[in-house]
Amino acid sequence: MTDELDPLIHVPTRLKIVATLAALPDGDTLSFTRLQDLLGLTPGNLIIQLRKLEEAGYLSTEKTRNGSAQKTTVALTRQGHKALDAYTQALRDLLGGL
Amino acid sequence: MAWPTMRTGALDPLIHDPERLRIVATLAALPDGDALSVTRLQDMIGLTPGSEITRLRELDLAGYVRTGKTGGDRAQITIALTCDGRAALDRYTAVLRQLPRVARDDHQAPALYVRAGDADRDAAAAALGEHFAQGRLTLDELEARLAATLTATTHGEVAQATWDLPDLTLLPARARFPRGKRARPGHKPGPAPSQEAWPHRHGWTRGGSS
Repeated sequence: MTDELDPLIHVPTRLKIVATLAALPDGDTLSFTRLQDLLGLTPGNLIIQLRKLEEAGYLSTEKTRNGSAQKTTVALTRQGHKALDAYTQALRDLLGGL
Repeated sequence: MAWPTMRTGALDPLIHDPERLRIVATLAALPDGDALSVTRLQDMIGLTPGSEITRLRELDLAGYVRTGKTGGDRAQITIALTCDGRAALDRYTAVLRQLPRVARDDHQAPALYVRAGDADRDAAAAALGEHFAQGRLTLDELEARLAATLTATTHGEVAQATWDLPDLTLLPARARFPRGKRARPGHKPGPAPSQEAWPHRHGWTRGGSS
């Protein structure tokens, strides 16, 4: 019996967000705009998905103010890494050698 | 940092649904042409009869599965994956592999002058075997490249052996079961497809990333 696929990660948009952040070298963050460019999402959609992942503790956001411009950076938390690992493992088990 | 823009295709929503994904993956693990009875599938996957029937109907409408009936006194409805269904699953897994986490190792590939180890040579050799099995190399080419790969001392030399071959990670996944009928006439099948060929570099291996 395979473990359940984490529904928070399974949604394609969130899967892409989490996978993108997980690919960063440890300690690196991505800016909101960069993430938006990479994934081709609308700002509204990205904000909603990020909020859901942040509420679950899977990622952390940080706002920095540089003069008048505000910049938001996003990074995966340890818990987020763990959740993605569990998710990919469940998926691997499900798909076998495919 | 130079970060490639993500160019992954969409994940087929018909397959991405967890219950349908479970059904399709289970059927895909059967040898070509084999079918499962609906009740057997239900036991294997643990879905309720109601949701199983609904999911199967959705897959049937899309042409991903086909239903049949066994003869005899106790007629049973059987389910099998169609060619379309298998192709859709192949595309689905290919999209999954293109997610950046999986491609991370490429991004951090060692420089060409960096010394290669046994694991690097073995992985390249396994990839060559896979390309031979898929008909991209002749036996002579395979032997020449294997010889070059196994004596390579740097990552550059290892990479040279596969420079003109497509990235196995981006090709559609192959079924685990050999399909003899599709082999080219006169083409001797190569070594068994190696489980190590691509997961080795991409952390998509069983048992966690290495």
